[in-house]
Amino acid sequence: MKKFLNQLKFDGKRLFLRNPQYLFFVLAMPIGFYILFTKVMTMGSASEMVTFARSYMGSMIVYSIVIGALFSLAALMQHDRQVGLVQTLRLTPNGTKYYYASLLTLMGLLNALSALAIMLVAVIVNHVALSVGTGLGVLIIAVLGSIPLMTLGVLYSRIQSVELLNVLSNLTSFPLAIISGLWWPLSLLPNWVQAIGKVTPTYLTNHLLTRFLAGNALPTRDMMGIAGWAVGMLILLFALTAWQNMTKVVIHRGSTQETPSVQ
Amino acid sequence: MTNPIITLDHVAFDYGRKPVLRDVDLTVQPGEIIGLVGPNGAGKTTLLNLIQGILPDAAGITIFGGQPGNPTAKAATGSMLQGNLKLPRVRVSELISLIGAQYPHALPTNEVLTLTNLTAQANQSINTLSGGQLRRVTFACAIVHQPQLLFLDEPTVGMDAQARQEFWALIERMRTRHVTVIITSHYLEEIQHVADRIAILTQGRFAYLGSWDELQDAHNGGQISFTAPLAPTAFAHLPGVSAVTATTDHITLTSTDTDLTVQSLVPFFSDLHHFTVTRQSLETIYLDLLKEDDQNEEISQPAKV
Repeated sequence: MKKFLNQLKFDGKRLFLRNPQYLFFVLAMPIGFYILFTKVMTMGSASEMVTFARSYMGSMIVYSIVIGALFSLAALMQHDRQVGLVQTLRLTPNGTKYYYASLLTLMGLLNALSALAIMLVAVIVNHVALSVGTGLGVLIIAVLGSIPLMTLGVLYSRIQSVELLNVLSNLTSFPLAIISGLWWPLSLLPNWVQAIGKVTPTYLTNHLLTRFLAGNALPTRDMMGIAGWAVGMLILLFALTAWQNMTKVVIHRGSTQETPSVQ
Repeated sequence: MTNPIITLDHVAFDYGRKPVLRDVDLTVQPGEIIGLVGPNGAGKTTLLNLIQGILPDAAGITIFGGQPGNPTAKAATGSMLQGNLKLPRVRVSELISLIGAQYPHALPTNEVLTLTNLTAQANQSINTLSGGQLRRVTFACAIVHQPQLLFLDEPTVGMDAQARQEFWALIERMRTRHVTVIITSHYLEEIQHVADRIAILTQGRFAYLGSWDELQDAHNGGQISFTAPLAPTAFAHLPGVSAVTATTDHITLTSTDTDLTVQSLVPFFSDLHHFTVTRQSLETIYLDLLKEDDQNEEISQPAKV
Protein backbone atom coordinates (compact mmCIF):
# COMPACT_ATOMS: atom_id res chain seq x y z
CA MET A 1 0.00 0.00 0.00
CA LYS A 2 2.87 2.34 0.85
CA LYS A 3 4.36 1.84 -2.62
CA PHE A 4 1.02 2.62 -4.24
CA LEU A 5 0.60 5.77 -2.13
CA ASN A 6 4.17 6.86 -3.01
CA GLN A 7 3.36 6.54 -6.69
CA LEU A 8 0.00 8.31 -6.22
CA LYS A 9 1.70 11.23 -4.46
CA PHE A 10 4.33 11.42 -7.23
CA ASP A 11 1.68 11.41 -9.98
CA GLY A 12 -0.66 13.76 -8.13
CA LYS A 13 2.00 16.45 -7.97
CA ARG A 14 3.05 16.27 -11.61
CA LEU A 15 -0.41 15.76 -13.13
CA PHE A 16 -2.46 18.06 -10.94
CA LEU A 17 -0.84 20.20 -8.24
CA ARG A 18 2.03 21.53 -10.36
CA ASN A 19 0.17 21.52 -13.66
CA PRO A 20 -1.61 24.82 -14.38
CA GLN A 21 -2.62 23.55 -17.82
CA TYR A 22 -4.65 20.76 -16.23
CA LEU A 23 -6.36 23.21 -13.89
CA PHE A 24 -7.19 25.51 -16.79
CA PHE A 25 -8.37 23.05 -19.44
CA VAL A 26 -10.00 20.39 -17.27
CA LEU A 27 -11.43 22.51 -14.45
CA ALA A 28 -11.58 26.20 -15.33
CA MET A 29 -12.71 25.84 -18.94
CA PRO A 30 -15.79 23.63 -18.34
CA ILE A 31 -16.73 25.85 -15.39
CA GLY A 32 -16.28 28.92 -17.63
CA PHE A 33 -18.48 27.38 -20.34
CA TYR A 34 -21.07 26.46 -17.73
CA ILE A 35 -21.27 30.02 -16.41
CA LEU A 36 -21.22 31.47 -19.94
CA PHE A 37 -24.13 29.38 -21.23
CA THR A 38 -26.27 29.39 -18.08
CA LYS A 39 -25.67 32.87 -16.72
CA VAL A 40 -24.42 35.16 -19.47
CA MET A 41 -26.00 33.91 -22.72
CA THR A 42 -29.43 33.12 -21.30
CA MET A 43 -32.28 32.00 -23.56
CA GLY A 44 -35.83 30.82 -22.76
CA SER A 45 -38.04 31.36 -19.74
CA ALA A 46 -36.83 31.36 -16.13
CA SER A 47 -38.16 27.87 -15.50
CA GLU A 48 -36.50 26.57 -18.69
CA MET A 49 -33.21 28.12 -17.58
CA VAL A 50 -33.47 26.37 -14.19
CA THR A 51 -33.89 23.01 -15.97
CA PHE A 52 -31.10 23.88 -18.40
CA ALA A 53 -28.72 24.90 -15.56
CA ARG A 54 -29.31 21.51 -13.98
CA SER A 55 -28.84 19.40 -17.12
CA TYR A 56 -25.95 21.46 -18.56
CA MET A 57 -24.04 20.72 -15.37
CA GLY A 58 -23.89 17.05 -16.49
CA SER A 59 -22.72 18.06 -19.98
CA MET A 60 -19.80 20.06 -18.61
CA ILE A 61 -18.85 17.25 -16.22
CA VAL A 62 -18.60 14.89 -19.21
CA TYR A 63 -16.70 17.51 -21.24
CA SER A 64 -14.19 17.88 -18.41
CA ILE A 65 -13.68 14.09 -18.38
CA VAL A 66 -13.07 14.06 -22.16
CA ILE A 67 -10.37 16.75 -21.93
CA GLY A 68 -8.72 15.09 -18.92
CA ALA A 69 -8.60 11.69 -20.66
CA LEU A 70 -7.69 12.59 -24.23
CA PHE A 71 -5.32 15.45 -23.52
CA SER A 72 -3.84 15.28 -19.99
CA LEU A 73 -3.72 11.52 -19.39
CA ALA A 74 -2.77 10.57 -22.96
CA ALA A 75 0.03 13.18 -23.16
CA LEU A 76 1.43 12.32 -19.72
CA MET A 77 1.54 8.59 -20.45
CA GLN A 78 3.00 9.14 -23.90
CA HIS A 79 5.79 11.29 -22.42
CA ASP A 80 6.47 8.75 -19.66
CA ARG A 81 6.90 6.09 -22.31
CA GLN A 82 9.11 8.23 -24.51
CA VAL A 83 11.56 9.36 -21.82
CA GLY A 84 11.86 5.83 -20.46
CA LEU A 85 9.99 6.08 -17.14
CA VAL A 86 7.70 3.17 -18.04
CA GLN A 87 10.70 1.08 -19.10
CA THR A 88 12.65 1.98 -15.96
CA LEU A 89 9.72 0.90 -13.79
CA ARG A 90 9.22 -2.26 -15.85
CA LEU A 91 12.80 -3.28 -15.04
CA THR A 92 12.19 -3.05 -11.27
CA PRO A 93 10.81 -5.92 -9.17
CA ASN A 94 7.43 -4.15 -8.86
CA GLY A 95 7.06 -3.59 -12.57
CA THR A 96 4.44 -1.09 -13.72
CA LYS A 97 1.46 -2.26 -11.67
CA TYR A 98 1.63 0.66 -9.20
CA TYR A 99 2.18 3.12 -12.02
CA TYR A 100 -0.99 2.13 -13.87
CA ALA A 101 -3.01 1.68 -10.67
CA SER A 102 -1.95 5.12 -9.49
CA LEU A 103 -2.83 6.87 -12.75
CA LEU A 104 -6.24 5.21 -12.96
CA THR A 105 -7.01 6.03 -9.32
CA LEU A 106 -5.77 9.57 -9.71
CA MET A 107 -7.83 10.17 -12.84
CA GLY A 108 -10.89 8.75 -11.05
CA LEU A 109 -10.29 11.14 -8.14
CA LEU A 110 -9.67 14.09 -10.45
CA ASN A 111 -12.83 13.35 -12.46
CA ALA A 112 -14.78 13.24 -9.20
CA LEU A 113 -13.15 16.50 -8.16
CA SER A 114 -14.08 18.17 -11.47
CA ALA A 115 -17.65 16.95 -11.11
CA LEU A 116 -17.74 18.25 -7.53
CA ALA A 117 -16.36 21.65 -8.57
CA ILE A 118 -18.92 22.01 -11.40
CA MET A 119 -21.75 21.00 -9.05
CA LEU A 120 -20.60 23.57 -6.48
CA VAL A 121 -20.59 26.29 -9.15
CA ALA A 122 -24.08 25.21 -10.23
CA VAL A 123 -25.32 25.42 -6.65
CA ILE A 124 -23.63 28.74 -5.87
CA VAL A 125 -24.08 30.59 -9.19
CA ASN A 126 -27.37 29.16 -10.45
CA HIS A 127 -28.88 28.05 -7.13
CA VAL A 128 -29.39 24.52 -8.46
CA ALA A 129 -30.91 22.40 -5.72
CA LEU A 130 -28.77 19.31 -5.11
CA SER A 131 -28.99 16.91 -2.20
CA VAL A 132 -25.89 15.12 -0.90
CA GLY A 133 -27.34 11.86 -2.24
CA THR A 134 -27.82 13.33 -5.72
CA GLY A 135 -24.31 14.77 -5.63
CA LEU A 136 -22.86 11.38 -4.72
CA GLY A 137 -24.88 9.71 -7.46
CA VAL A 138 -23.50 12.21 -10.00
CA LEU A 139 -19.94 11.45 -8.82
CA ILE A 140 -20.47 7.70 -9.20
CA ILE A 141 -22.00 8.03 -12.69
CA ALA A 142 -19.23 10.43 -13.76
CA VAL A 143 -16.45 8.09 -12.57
CA LEU A 144 -18.01 4.97 -14.12
CA GLY A 145 -18.87 6.83 -17.34
CA SER A 146 -15.25 7.97 -17.60
CA ILE A 147 -13.88 4.40 -17.95
CA PRO A 148 -14.24 4.11 -21.77
CA LEU A 149 -12.77 7.59 -22.24
CA MET A 150 -9.85 6.89 -19.90
CA THR A 151 -9.15 3.66 -21.80
CA LEU A 152 -9.23 5.63 -25.06
CA GLY A 153 -6.72 8.06 -23.49
CA VAL A 154 -4.41 5.13 -22.60
CA LEU A 155 -4.82 3.78 -26.13
CA TYR A 156 -3.88 7.15 -27.61
CA SER A 157 -0.83 7.37 -25.35
CA ARG A 158 0.70 4.48 -27.32
CA ILE A 159 1.04 6.72 -30.37
CA GLN A 160 4.68 7.68 -30.71
CA SER A 161 4.41 11.08 -32.36
CA VAL A 162 3.57 13.99 -30.07
CA GLU A 163 2.13 15.94 -33.00
CA LEU A 164 -0.07 13.06 -34.12
CA LEU A 165 -1.40 12.59 -30.60
CA ASN A 166 -2.24 16.28 -30.40
CA VAL A 167 -4.08 16.21 -33.74
CA LEU A 168 -5.93 13.02 -32.85
CA SER A 169 -6.95 14.33 -29.40
CA ASN A 170 -8.34 17.49 -30.99
CA LEU A 171 -10.05 15.60 -33.80
CA THR A 172 -11.71 13.28 -31.31
CA SER A 173 -12.64 15.46 -28.37
CA PHE A 174 -14.26 18.45 -30.07
CA PRO A 175 -16.36 16.58 -32.69
CA LEU A 176 -17.29 14.10 -29.93
CA ALA A 177 -18.45 16.96 -27.71
CA ILE A 178 -20.56 18.38 -30.54
CA ILE A 179 -22.19 15.18 -31.83
CA SER A 180 -22.99 13.92 -28.34
CA GLY A 181 -24.75 17.15 -27.42
CA LEU A 182 -22.34 18.40 -24.76
CA TRP A 183 -22.14 21.95 -26.08
CA TRP A 184 -25.63 22.47 -27.50
CA PRO A 185 -28.80 20.36 -27.75
CA LEU A 186 -28.57 17.29 -29.97
CA SER A 187 -31.93 18.21 -31.56
CA LEU A 188 -30.21 21.06 -33.43
CA LEU A 189 -28.14 18.56 -35.42
CA PRO A 190 -29.25 16.57 -38.53
CA ASN A 191 -30.96 13.24 -37.82
CA TRP A 192 -28.09 11.12 -39.11
CA VAL A 193 -25.63 12.96 -36.84
CA GLN A 194 -28.00 12.49 -33.92
CA ALA A 195 -28.12 8.75 -34.65
CA ILE A 196 -24.30 8.57 -34.46
CA GLY A 197 -24.16 10.90 -31.43
CA LYS A 198 -26.57 8.75 -29.45
CA VAL A 199 -24.23 5.75 -29.42
CA THR A 200 -21.15 7.65 -28.24
CA PRO A 201 -19.93 7.01 -24.68
CA THR A 202 -20.08 10.74 -23.97
CA TYR A 203 -23.77 10.92 -24.94
CA LEU A 204 -24.58 7.81 -22.91
CA THR A 205 -22.90 9.20 -19.77
CA ASN A 206 -24.43 12.64 -20.26
CA HIS A 207 -27.85 11.09 -20.82
CA LEU A 208 -27.49 9.04 -17.65
CA LEU A 209 -26.54 12.17 -15.69
CA THR A 210 -29.42 14.18 -17.17
CA ARG A 211 -31.93 11.44 -16.33
CA PHE A 212 -30.51 11.04 -12.85
CA LEU A 213 -30.55 14.78 -12.16
CA ALA A 214 -34.16 14.97 -13.37
CA GLY A 215 -35.07 12.24 -10.90
CA ASN A 216 -35.88 9.67 -13.62
CA ALA A 217 -34.97 5.99 -13.67
CA LEU A 218 -31.58 5.18 -15.21
CA PRO A 219 -31.94 3.59 -18.66
CA THR A 220 -30.37 0.11 -18.84
CA ARG A 221 -29.49 0.77 -22.49
CA ASP A 222 -27.16 3.62 -21.46
CA MET A 223 -25.44 1.54 -18.79
CA MET A 224 -25.01 -1.41 -21.13
CA GLY A 225 -23.70 0.95 -23.79
CA ILE A 226 -21.04 2.38 -21.47
CA ALA A 227 -20.05 -1.13 -20.36
CA GLY A 228 -19.84 -2.18 -24.02
CA TRP A 229 -17.59 0.75 -24.88
CA ALA A 230 -15.37 0.05 -21.87
CA VAL A 231 -14.99 -3.64 -22.80
CA GLY A 232 -14.41 -2.79 -26.46
CA MET A 233 -11.73 -0.21 -25.66
CA LEU A 234 -9.98 -2.59 -23.26
CA ILE A 235 -9.96 -5.37 -25.87
CA LEU A 236 -8.50 -2.91 -28.38
CA LEU A 237 -5.83 -1.84 -25.88
CA PHE A 238 -4.81 -5.41 -25.07
CA ALA A 239 -4.80 -6.35 -28.76
CA LEU A 240 -2.55 -3.41 -29.61
CA THR A 241 -0.16 -4.23 -26.76
CA ALA A 242 -0.04 -7.89 -27.79
CA TRP A 243 0.57 -6.94 -31.41
CA GLN A 244 3.41 -4.59 -30.45
CA ASN A 245 5.03 -7.30 -28.34
CA MET A 246 4.56 -9.91 -31.04
CA THR A 247 6.20 -7.80 -33.72
CA LYS A 248 9.08 -7.05 -31.32
CA VAL A 249 8.89 -3.37 -31.91
CA VAL A 250 8.25 -2.15 -28.37
CA ILE A 251 11.86 -1.40 -27.60
CA HIS A 252 11.68 2.30 -27.04
CA ARG A 253 13.42 3.01 -23.81
CA GLY A 254 14.18 6.68 -24.10
CA SER A 255 16.43 5.76 -26.97
CA THR A 256 16.25 7.02 -30.50
CA GLN A 257 18.98 4.77 -31.76
CA GLU A 258 16.92 1.68 -32.40
CA THR A 259 14.42 2.81 -34.98
CA PRO A 260 11.80 0.08 -35.41
CA SER A 261 9.41 1.38 -32.78
CA VAL A 262 5.76 2.15 -33.28
CA GLN A 263 4.41 2.46 -29.79
CA MET B 1 35.49 -20.49 -10.03
CA THR B 2 32.30 -18.62 -9.20
CA ASN B 3 29.16 -18.90 -11.27
CA PRO B 4 28.99 -16.40 -14.10
CA ILE B 5 26.45 -13.60 -13.77
CA ILE B 6 25.61 -13.61 -17.47
CA THR B 7 26.02 -16.32 -20.10
CA LEU B 8 25.24 -15.82 -23.77
CA ASP B 9 25.29 -19.03 -25.78
CA HIS B 10 24.97 -18.64 -29.57
CA VAL B 11 22.52 -15.75 -29.23
CA ALA B 12 20.88 -14.53 -32.42
CA PHE B 13 18.15 -11.95 -32.91
CA ASP B 14 16.42 -10.21 -35.77
CA TYR B 15 13.74 -7.59 -36.30
CA GLY B 16 11.64 -9.41 -38.86
CA ARG B 17 13.89 -9.80 -41.88
CA LYS B 18 16.67 -7.63 -40.48
CA PRO B 19 19.27 -9.71 -38.60
CA VAL B 20 20.79 -7.74 -35.72
CA LEU B 21 22.74 -10.34 -33.71
CA ARG B 22 24.35 -13.46 -35.15
CA ASP B 23 25.82 -16.17 -32.96
CA VAL B 24 26.99 -14.11 -29.98
CA ASP B 25 28.79 -15.89 -27.11
CA LEU B 26 29.81 -14.22 -23.85
CA THR B 27 30.39 -15.17 -20.21
CA VAL B 28 30.54 -12.41 -17.61
CA GLN B 29 32.03 -13.16 -14.18
CA PRO B 30 31.04 -11.29 -10.99
CA GLY B 31 32.97 -8.05 -10.56
CA GLU B 32 34.00 -7.78 -14.21
CA ILE B 33 33.73 -4.54 -16.13
CA ILE B 34 32.95 -5.15 -19.79
CA GLY B 35 33.18 -2.41 -22.38
CA LEU B 36 30.80 -3.06 -25.25
CA VAL B 37 31.69 -0.99 -28.30
CA GLY B 38 30.61 -0.95 -31.90
CA PRO B 39 29.33 1.36 -34.62
CA ASN B 40 25.75 2.65 -34.63
CA GLY B 41 23.34 -0.12 -35.52
CA ALA B 42 25.81 -2.88 -34.55
CA GLY B 43 23.29 -4.30 -32.07
CA LYS B 44 24.70 -3.03 -28.74
CA THR B 45 21.39 -1.72 -27.37
CA THR B 46 19.53 -4.76 -28.74
CA LEU B 47 21.98 -7.03 -26.90
CA LEU B 48 21.49 -5.11 -23.62
CA ASN B 49 17.70 -5.21 -24.13
CA LEU B 50 17.80 -8.98 -24.63
CA ILE B 51 19.93 -9.57 -21.53
CA GLN B 52 17.58 -7.45 -19.44
CA GLY B 53 14.46 -9.16 -20.79
CA ILE B 54 13.14 -6.03 -22.49
CA LEU B 55 12.99 -7.86 -25.80
CA PRO B 56 11.31 -11.26 -25.98
CA ASP B 57 12.69 -14.56 -27.32
CA ALA B 58 16.00 -14.33 -25.49
CA ALA B 59 17.04 -17.93 -26.23
CA GLY B 60 20.54 -18.83 -25.05
CA ILE B 61 20.76 -16.11 -22.39
CA THR B 62 21.17 -16.86 -18.69
CA ILE B 63 21.34 -14.08 -16.11
CA PHE B 64 21.65 -14.73 -12.36
CA GLY B 65 20.95 -18.38 -13.10
CA GLY B 66 17.64 -17.79 -14.87
CA GLN B 67 15.87 -16.33 -17.85
CA PRO B 68 16.26 -12.60 -18.57
CA GLY B 69 13.84 -10.60 -16.43
CA ASN B 70 13.70 -13.20 -13.63
CA PRO B 71 12.89 -11.74 -10.17
CA THR B 72 16.45 -12.19 -8.82
CA ALA B 73 17.89 -10.44 -11.85
CA LYS B 74 15.40 -7.57 -11.59
CA ALA B 75 16.20 -7.00 -7.92
CA ALA B 76 19.98 -7.13 -8.44
CA THR B 77 20.29 -5.19 -11.70
CA GLY B 78 20.52 -1.46 -12.29
CA SER B 79 20.13 0.05 -15.71
CA MET B 80 21.16 3.47 -16.95
CA LEU B 81 19.17 3.86 -20.14
CA GLN B 82 20.45 5.73 -23.15
CA GLY B 83 17.85 8.48 -22.79
CA ASN B 84 17.35 10.68 -19.77
CA LEU B 85 14.35 10.56 -17.43
CA LYS B 86 13.42 14.15 -18.29
CA LEU B 87 10.08 14.44 -16.54
CA PRO B 88 8.39 17.83 -16.29
CA ARG B 89 7.09 19.02 -12.90
CA VAL B 90 9.16 16.43 -11.01
CA ARG B 91 12.03 17.22 -8.63
CA VAL B 92 15.32 15.31 -8.66
CA SER B 93 14.89 13.88 -5.15
CA GLU B 94 11.30 12.81 -5.91
CA LEU B 95 12.32 10.72 -8.91
CA ILE B 96 15.22 9.02 -7.10
CA SER B 97 12.96 8.35 -4.15
CA LEU B 98 10.25 6.86 -6.42
CA ILE B 99 12.70 4.49 -8.12
CA GLY B 100 14.26 3.56 -4.76
CA ALA B 101 10.80 2.67 -3.41
CA GLN B 102 10.55 -0.11 -6.02
CA TYR B 103 13.37 -2.09 -4.36
CA PRO B 104 13.62 -3.74 -0.95
CA HIS B 105 17.09 -2.47 0.05
CA ALA B 106 17.43 0.97 -1.51
CA LEU B 107 19.87 3.55 -0.18
CA PRO B 108 18.39 6.69 1.44
CA THR B 109 17.76 9.33 -1.24
CA ASN B 110 20.13 11.83 0.43
CA GLU B 111 22.96 9.31 0.31
CA VAL B 112 22.42 8.73 -3.42
CA LEU B 113 22.29 12.48 -4.04
CA THR B 114 25.64 12.91 -2.24
CA LEU B 115 27.19 9.96 -4.06
CA THR B 116 26.22 11.37 -7.47
CA ASN B 117 27.02 14.96 -6.55
CA LEU B 118 23.40 16.08 -6.96
CA THR B 119 22.69 17.45 -3.47
CA ALA B 120 22.50 21.03 -4.76
CA GLN B 121 19.93 19.98 -7.38
CA ALA B 122 17.79 17.87 -5.00
CA ASN B 123 14.81 20.24 -5.11
CA GLN B 124 15.33 21.40 -8.67
CA SER B 125 12.84 20.45 -11.38
CA ILE B 126 14.34 17.74 -13.61
CA ASN B 127 13.24 19.67 -16.67
CA THR B 128 15.63 22.52 -15.84
CA LEU B 129 18.81 20.43 -15.49
CA SER B 130 21.75 20.48 -17.91
CA GLY B 131 22.55 17.44 -20.06
CA GLY B 132 25.33 16.29 -17.73
CA GLN B 133 23.14 16.69 -14.63
CA LEU B 134 20.35 14.75 -16.32
CA ARG B 135 22.77 11.90 -17.01
CA ARG B 136 23.74 11.89 -13.33
CA VAL B 137 20.07 11.73 -12.28
CA THR B 138 19.57 8.74 -14.59
CA PHE B 139 22.70 7.15 -13.08
CA ALA B 140 21.42 7.84 -9.55
CA CYS B 141 18.20 5.98 -10.44
CA ALA B 142 20.29 3.03 -11.67
CA ILE B 143 22.34 2.68 -8.47
CA VAL B 144 19.77 3.67 -5.81
CA HIS B 145 19.25 -0.01 -4.86
CA GLN B 146 22.95 -0.94 -4.76
CA PRO B 147 22.81 -3.35 -7.72
CA GLN B 148 25.25 -6.23 -8.21
CA LEU B 149 25.00 -5.81 -11.98
CA LEU B 150 24.92 -2.46 -13.70
CA PHE B 151 24.14 -1.70 -17.35
CA LEU B 152 25.37 1.67 -18.56
CA ASP B 153 24.23 2.66 -22.05
CA GLU B 154 26.21 5.68 -23.28
CA PRO B 155 26.60 6.95 -19.70
CA THR B 156 28.74 10.05 -20.29
CA VAL B 157 26.92 11.61 -23.25
CA GLY B 158 26.34 15.30 -22.50
CA MET B 159 28.79 15.41 -19.58
CA ASP B 160 31.67 17.89 -19.54
CA ALA B 161 35.26 16.72 -18.96
CA GLN B 162 35.13 17.15 -15.18
CA ALA B 163 31.77 15.42 -14.84
CA ARG B 164 33.09 12.53 -16.94
CA GLN B 165 36.14 12.21 -14.74
CA GLU B 166 33.94 12.17 -11.62
CA PHE B 167 31.67 9.62 -13.23
CA TRP B 168 34.49 7.19 -14.01
CA ALA B 169 35.81 7.65 -10.46
CA LEU B 170 32.37 6.44 -9.30
CA ILE B 171 32.65 3.41 -11.55
CA GLU B 172 36.05 2.65 -10.02
CA ARG B 173 34.30 2.69 -6.62
CA MET B 174 31.80 0.20 -8.03
CA ARG B 175 34.73 -2.00 -9.01
CA THR B 176 36.02 -2.04 -5.42
CA ARG B 177 32.54 -3.14 -4.30
CA HIS B 178 32.73 -6.01 -6.80
CA VAL B 179 29.83 -4.70 -8.90
CA THR B 180 29.66 -6.18 -12.40
CA VAL B 181 29.34 -3.45 -15.02
CA ILE B 182 28.54 -3.58 -18.73
CA ILE B 183 29.16 -0.27 -20.49
CA THR B 184 28.46 0.85 -24.02
CA SER B 185 30.09 4.08 -25.06
CA HIS B 186 31.37 5.95 -28.07
CA TYR B 187 34.20 7.39 -25.94
CA LEU B 188 36.64 4.56 -26.60
CA GLU B 189 39.46 6.10 -24.58
CA GLU B 190 37.30 5.95 -21.46
CA ILE B 191 36.34 2.33 -22.12
CA GLN B 192 40.00 1.47 -22.68
CA HIS B 193 40.88 2.74 -19.20
CA VAL B 194 37.99 1.31 -17.20
CA ALA B 195 37.07 -2.02 -18.82
CA ASP B 196 38.62 -5.36 -17.81
CA ARG B 197 37.52 -6.77 -21.15
CA ILE B 198 36.47 -5.12 -24.37
CA ALA B 199 33.83 -6.58 -26.66
CA ILE B 200 33.79 -5.09 -30.15
CA LEU B 201 30.43 -5.77 -31.75
CA THR B 202 30.13 -5.33 -35.46
CA GLN B 203 27.77 -6.81 -38.06
CA GLY B 204 25.91 -8.53 -35.21
CA ARG B 205 28.83 -10.52 -33.74
CA PHE B 206 31.98 -9.93 -31.71
CA ALA B 207 34.94 -8.94 -33.87
CA TYR B 208 37.03 -9.02 -30.67
CA LEU B 209 36.48 -10.11 -27.09
CA GLY B 210 39.31 -9.87 -24.59
CA SER B 211 41.47 -7.54 -22.55
CA TRP B 212 42.92 -4.29 -23.82
CA ASP B 213 46.49 -5.58 -23.30
CA GLU B 214 45.81 -8.66 -25.42
CA LEU B 215 44.25 -6.51 -28.10
CA GLN B 216 47.21 -4.15 -28.11
CA ASP B 217 49.67 -7.07 -28.21
CA ALA B 218 47.88 -8.40 -31.25
CA HIS B 219 48.07 -4.97 -32.87
CA ASN B 220 51.67 -3.94 -32.38
CA GLY B 221 51.45 -0.97 -34.67
CA GLY B 222 52.03 2.65 -33.81
CA GLN B 223 53.89 5.81 -34.67
CA ILE B 224 57.54 6.75 -34.04
CA SER B 225 58.36 10.42 -34.13
CA PHE B 226 61.73 12.21 -33.90
CA THR B 227 63.89 14.99 -35.30
CA ALA B 228 66.95 14.07 -37.33
CA PRO B 229 69.42 15.73 -39.71
CA LEU B 230 68.73 12.98 -42.26
CA ALA B 231 66.44 12.67 -45.26
CA PRO B 232 63.05 11.03 -44.48
CA THR B 233 63.67 8.56 -47.30
CA ALA B 234 66.48 7.03 -45.22
CA PHE B 235 63.79 5.44 -42.97
CA ALA B 236 61.30 4.32 -45.60
CA HIS B 237 62.70 0.83 -46.02
CA LEU B 238 63.15 -0.06 -42.36
CA PRO B 239 61.30 -3.17 -41.14
CA GLY B 240 57.65 -2.54 -40.21
CA VAL B 241 57.51 0.97 -41.64
CA SER B 242 54.39 1.46 -43.73
CA ALA B 243 54.52 5.24 -44.20
CA VAL B 244 56.87 8.17 -43.59
CA THR B 245 55.65 11.71 -43.14
CA ALA B 246 57.87 14.70 -42.59
CA THR B 247 57.29 18.25 -41.43
CA THR B 248 59.91 20.98 -41.14
CA ASP B 249 61.02 19.76 -37.71
CA HIS B 250 59.69 16.20 -37.32
CA ILE B 251 59.79 12.88 -39.08
CA THR B 252 56.98 10.43 -38.28
CA LEU B 253 57.15 6.73 -39.12
CA THR B 254 53.95 4.74 -39.15
CA SER B 255 54.83 1.17 -38.25
CA THR B 256 52.94 -2.11 -38.22
CA ASP B 257 55.42 -3.41 -35.61
CA THR B 258 56.93 -0.70 -33.43
CA ASP B 259 59.29 -3.13 -31.62
CA LEU B 260 60.87 -4.19 -34.89
CA THR B 261 61.15 -0.66 -36.23
CA VAL B 262 62.71 0.69 -33.01
CA GLN B 263 65.35 -2.10 -33.11
CA SER B 264 66.23 -1.16 -36.68
CA LEU B 265 66.59 2.50 -35.67
CA VAL B 266 69.40 1.71 -33.16
CA PRO B 267 72.24 2.53 -35.63
CA PHE B 268 70.67 5.99 -36.16
CA PHE B 269 70.18 6.81 -32.44
CA SER B 270 73.10 9.26 -32.20
CA ASP B 271 71.37 11.44 -34.81
CA LEU B 272 67.83 11.13 -33.45
CA HIS B 273 66.34 13.66 -31.02
CA HIS B 274 62.95 14.20 -29.33
CA PHE B 275 62.24 10.51 -29.82
CA THR B 276 58.67 9.29 -29.01
CA VAL B 277 56.83 6.05 -29.63
CA THR B 278 53.02 6.08 -29.61
CA ARG B 279 51.29 2.73 -29.74
CA GLN B 280 47.92 2.36 -31.44
CA SER B 281 44.98 3.55 -29.36
CA LEU B 282 41.80 1.52 -28.94
CA GLU B 283 40.17 3.90 -31.38
CA THR B 284 42.64 3.21 -34.21
CA ILE B 285 42.63 -0.54 -33.55
CA TYR B 286 38.84 -0.45 -33.43
CA LEU B 287 38.65 1.40 -36.75
CA ASP B 288 41.10 -1.08 -38.31
CA LEU B 289 38.98 -3.98 -37.07
CA LEU B 290 35.82 -2.42 -38.48
CA LYS B 291 37.57 -1.92 -41.82
CA GLU B 292 38.75 -5.55 -41.85
CA ASP B 293 35.28 -6.74 -40.91
CA ASP B 294 33.65 -4.71 -43.68
CA GLN B 295 36.11 -6.19 -46.21
CA ASN B 296 35.45 -9.74 -44.98
CA GLU B 297 31.71 -9.13 -45.21
CA GLU B 298 32.05 -7.93 -48.81
CA ILE B 299 34.07 -11.03 -49.73
CA SER B 300 31.59 -13.38 -48.07
CA GLN B 301 28.65 -11.80 -49.92
CA PRO B 302 28.87 -12.27 -53.70
CA ALA B 303 28.27 -9.11 -55.71
CA LYS B 304 24.77 -8.66 -57.04
CA VAL B 305 24.55 -8.69 -60.81
